[in-house]
Amino acid sequence: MKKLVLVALVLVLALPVFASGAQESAAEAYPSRNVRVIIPWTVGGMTDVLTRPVASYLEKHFGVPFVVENKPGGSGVVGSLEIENSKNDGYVIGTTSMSTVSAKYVSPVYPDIHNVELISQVITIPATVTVNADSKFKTLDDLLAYAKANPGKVTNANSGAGASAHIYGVYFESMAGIKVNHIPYAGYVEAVTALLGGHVDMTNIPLPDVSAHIDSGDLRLLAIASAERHPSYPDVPTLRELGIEAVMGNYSGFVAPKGTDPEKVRAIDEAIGLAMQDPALRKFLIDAGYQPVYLNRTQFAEVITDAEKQLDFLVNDLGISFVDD
Amino acid sequence: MELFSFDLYLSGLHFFTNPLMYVASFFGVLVGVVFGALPGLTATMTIAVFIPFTFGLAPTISFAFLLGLYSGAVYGGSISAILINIPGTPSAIATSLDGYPMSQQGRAGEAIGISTISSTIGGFLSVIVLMFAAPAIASVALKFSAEEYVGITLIGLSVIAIISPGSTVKGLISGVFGLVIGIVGIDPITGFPRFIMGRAELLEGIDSIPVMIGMYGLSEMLVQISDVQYSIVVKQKISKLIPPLKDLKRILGTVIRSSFIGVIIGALPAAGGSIASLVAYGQEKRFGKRRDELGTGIIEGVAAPEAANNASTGGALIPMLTLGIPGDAMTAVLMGGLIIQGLRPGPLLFQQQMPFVSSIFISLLLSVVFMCIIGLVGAKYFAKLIGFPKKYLIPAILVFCLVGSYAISNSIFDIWVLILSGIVGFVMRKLSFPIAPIVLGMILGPLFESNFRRSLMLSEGNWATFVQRPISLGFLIVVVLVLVGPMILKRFNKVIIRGN
Repeated sequence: MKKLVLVALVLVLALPVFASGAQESAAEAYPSRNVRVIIPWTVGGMTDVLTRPVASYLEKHFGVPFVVENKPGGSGVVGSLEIENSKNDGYVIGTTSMSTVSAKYVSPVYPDIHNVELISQVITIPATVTVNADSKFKTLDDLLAYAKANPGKVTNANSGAGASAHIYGVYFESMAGIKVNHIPYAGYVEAVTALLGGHVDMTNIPLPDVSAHIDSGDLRLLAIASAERHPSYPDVPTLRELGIEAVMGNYSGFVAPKGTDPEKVRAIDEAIGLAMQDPALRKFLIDAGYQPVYLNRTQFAEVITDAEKQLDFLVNDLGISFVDD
Repeated sequence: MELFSFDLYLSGLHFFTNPLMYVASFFGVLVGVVFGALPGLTATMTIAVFIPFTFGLAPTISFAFLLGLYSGAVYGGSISAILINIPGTPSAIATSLDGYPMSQQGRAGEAIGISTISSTIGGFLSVIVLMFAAPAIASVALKFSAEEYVGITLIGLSVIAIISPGSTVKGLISGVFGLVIGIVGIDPITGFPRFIMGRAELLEGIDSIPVMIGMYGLSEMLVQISDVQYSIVVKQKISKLIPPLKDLKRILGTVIRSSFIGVIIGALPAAGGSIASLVAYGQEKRFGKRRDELGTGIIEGVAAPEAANNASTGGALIPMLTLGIPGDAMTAVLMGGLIIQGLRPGPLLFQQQMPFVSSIFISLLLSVVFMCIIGLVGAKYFAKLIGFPKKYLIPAILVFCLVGSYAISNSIFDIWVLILSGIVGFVMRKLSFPIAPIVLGMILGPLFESNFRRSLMLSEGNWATFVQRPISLGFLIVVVLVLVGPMILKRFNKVIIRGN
């Protein structure tokens, strides 16, 4: 009897070996087990909020779990390096943003966007020109006219010296030909709070962090720095329309470790493409202030090249030193 | 924003009949208390760990659970502070000042009872304030600019001088040591990296949590091991678990004062429970009837910080719900949870999501009730935990310290920070330098520095800005009174005595 139990036990234990062997031989079915989705930023952060619904769409689409893992630290450096160093068997994907590109100006160790395979871009996060609703600046022209007459008087709240909103602020300043007083805060939230309290005049902080206050009537959106107008604010002009050649903001997209099978990348890319057409998902992202823009890997590569050029211009021509936020 | 609308309260009443709300809240508090009490697992981390599990639940149920976790974890931090002198969360640092002496006198159960009742009253008052005055308080909080934050952090820093038992000079040395550690990392204003020694981990500065766990947890364990009385366990009187009416009357004033301090400071974005409990303890030291006995193990010393840190939970929810601005790290994580549920915290939430806001009030009330029950029922068992032989207890706590430090950002580097702080803490204790000022200096220093420099940038270098703003001026006067008040009083008394 004892022997029988032992044999049964051995068989039960050995079964998964055969099972997984069988799976490997039927290599056509991808993905056939858990896919890890590494987010190099915290739970509830910008990237996290948009990645989770996309991941759960992929989960339904492929019928296997897409397990979201947050690996924050070093402003995204830690998680991005983990994506680079993960196995390229198609069972690890991750997210990327402009921070991954700007990290080399910031951190002594940094990831390289050319060390991963791009899958697709899912959103852009446009920078804005936003003022308090009580501000005397009703239009961008008002703001520019005042700033030109009083150089250095307009205070612009950003998310820390060299951090994203500061970069937008300096870029805006240089493209609009004005001089402002940059006031660094610990992050987006603190900077928006200062704007709400009327302690500063304006900010270039991206839409998701100001949209709730614009909708409530506490803040006023003077212009948006995306290529096209935002679906939720069709009346707000883009900077480009107003004659300022500044398209700036962040983006977020998916990547896979270098050398991942192109067929697998294509499969994920197609599913993300479908996800981005899902009306419920689109509504969720737009309501959160993001601008859903599905771009395939080739188009995504162009976006990244542009971002690299813009950062290069900021560092070499405007002499900014970056930090990450 | 409409200040008062009864729909806000009535539209969610039906949630009271939903048994799932009770279940979710109960388990939230239970898990929160356990995690909060484990050294190294902070309230923020607890919420971050559990938030992904709630994504599949309805928003009301998920928030009943999360708010339970939040209240439970903030309360739970006091248990380990009292029992083993290791604050489970930074907001319990002040609690250990009197809580641990109490447990060394065999009064751990009594201390936990006081902590439970104070936390309950603090939590309850903060829910009431949140329900009826949230928009008004939020608009006041917005009036605080960099200058006012300078004032608040200065009040916090001035408490260092007060809470150092024994030598004030040693307390100040510890405080400066903490301020120096706080300098490491990216300069908050210019972005210049300071003392990072080529390490990416140091860019964001040294995290105060592993330092706190090391200084308190690891070094306390080392002290206990090196103690000749290693094998002696303080016999715990399991009495007064439910505080008698006489004690309740004695702390009532303290608790109510501290609760209001907690709500207000909690509502200020970027302040939060750790500063609230500290300021509450500081004011008890200044105005309390038994201020001279503070630090020796009296119930006021537990009541003040515990009422304040639990009151700050409701306070921190005020800017989150009404403005979409988190009041502290914990609410920042909670806010992420709201957004993932498709709800937008912010000015429109109170108007568009009345039933949900209403359910938040109910969840908070439930969590306060469950916290009280779990605390009072559990006090007996918690107090017995220290009776556990130290040869088992100490290794177990060490493991939690290591895991907790690692878990903050999944970084081995933080474990080294923990070990180094543990050794430094051990040496400092042996030389009788107080530990609390180091951690406080680390937390408050960067806040002070960045707001101070920001004020000067906003005012274009005008130093008068600090006295030209009325609230800021008021805070500065308080700081001056705290620091020079005792000296003047002493001289004054001498003159009177001589006169007589």
